Order: sequence, then structure tokens, then C-alpha cells
Amino acid sequence: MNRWFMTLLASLGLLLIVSGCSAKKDEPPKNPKDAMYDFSNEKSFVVYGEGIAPVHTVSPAQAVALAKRAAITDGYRQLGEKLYGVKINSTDTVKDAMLKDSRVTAQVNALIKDAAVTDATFKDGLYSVRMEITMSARRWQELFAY
Amino acid sequence: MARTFCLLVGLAQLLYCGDVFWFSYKIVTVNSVVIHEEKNIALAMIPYEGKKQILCELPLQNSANLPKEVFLRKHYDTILPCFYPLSTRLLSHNEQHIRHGNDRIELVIEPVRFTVDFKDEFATINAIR
Repeated sequence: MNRWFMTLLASLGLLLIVSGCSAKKDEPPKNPKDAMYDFSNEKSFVVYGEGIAPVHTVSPAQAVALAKRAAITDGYRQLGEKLYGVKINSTDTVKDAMLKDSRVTAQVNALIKDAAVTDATFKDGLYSVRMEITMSARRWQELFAY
Repeated sequence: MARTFCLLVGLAQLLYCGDVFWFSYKIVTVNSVVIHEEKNIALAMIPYEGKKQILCELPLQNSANLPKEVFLRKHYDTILPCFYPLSTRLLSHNEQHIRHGNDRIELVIEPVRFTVDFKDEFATINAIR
């Protein structure tokens, strides 16, 4: 009887230890910044930049080259909009219950690294480039936090 | 005396910084059309020991044995895409009125030191930072 009781007690103790280990809660992150940002998620931003071939050029090839550069510049602007946001200012002027003037100003100020042009097409004087950038909180810190 | 001094300075520069160049670029577009472009390549005046980072390998060959600076200036448009992934600063200003709009974008590739190595019909561009 005594032996049975001792075995039961030992089994219960072992069960308690094992269940205690398995029910251990996840430790909070040691670095407080880790708690602020989700470092696991990588996100790809894709934009399509467009550029127009200028009319007065030395040759059609130059027009295409300039259209491509304008398209890349437009693509960078769109990436900047996604990564940094846009500052908008708007003014409406109303006189005698009529809209006289309406102005909307949008500004982007950005620093972009490691963007890639993944595709490009030229059709009817319009150059279009597909641009991509992969970003995560960790990557952002590596590139821009200095 | 002055001539010898200048020659010495030139020689020292060729010896120590002959292979390092500066690159920078600026483009301004208005309503999706390029209105201004600045392409800069210049020989570095001060030697700099930094970390090399391979930017790209291009199928370019200096068969005419041109000086490197002349060669790079000649092929500026070919090597330009290599530098886009580096620090690219952007300033955009878009203004919309009732009847018209004005969309201006300024893009600047900040000055960066680089070298070019020719090997087996390929030119390797390395940024030095």
C-alpha cells in the first residue's frame, strides 16, 4: 500500500514538472524595439512609373532614353509616397457663394535605396517601368536608421 | 620650380588616386518630361581607403585604350543604372489648380566614389564607401 502510494506521488510530481515546462509562457522580447516593430514581415512595394518622350530631340533614340529616365523618376516618386507618405496642402477660395479658386499641393521628400526596375515597356510615346522594393522593419533600420 | 611642383602633384595624384572616381547625377522632370539633367564623373583628388561594394558587371571593353575618365564619360548612360540602388534622394512637388496642373520631380543620386576594373570584355563597377 505504502509502495503504491509512493509511486503515485512520484508520478504526480513528474506530471507536475512536465506540465509546468509545457505551460511555460512566451518570454517577452529582450530588446524593447523588438516589441515595437514586427521584424518578421517583409513587404514588397510595386509601382509603375510613366514617362513621356519629348518632342524636340536629336534622335528618336534620345527621346526613348529620356522617356525611360522620366519613367524611373516617376517610379521613385511613387515609391517615396508609399514609404514616406505625402504632405498635402489645399486651399479653396469662395467668393459670393461661388468657388473662385482651388489649389491642391502634394509634396514628397524621400531617400530611397535598393529599388529595382523589374520590367519596362515603350508604347505610343509612353515609357512605363515596373519598379519594386522589398522592405521590412529590420531592413528599414539597416538602411535608414543612422 | 613651380612647373616641377605642379608636375609632382599631378604625378602623385595619378599614382595614388588614379583609379578612384566620383559619380553623381541629377534629373528634373516636369509633367513627366525631362527638363534638366546633370551628369557628373570626376577623378577623385584625395586617396580614400574604403570598403568595396560590387555594383554591377557590364559588357564593356576599353578596346581603344581610352583614359578611364574619358571612357566612363562616354558610357555614362550605360553605367547610370548601376548607381540607382544607392542613395537616391527625391523631392516632388505637385500643384493642381482648377484648370491646370504642374508636377515637378527632382531626383539626385548623391556623390559616391567608385572604381572600374576591366577584365575579359567586362567592366566591373565598384562603389567605395
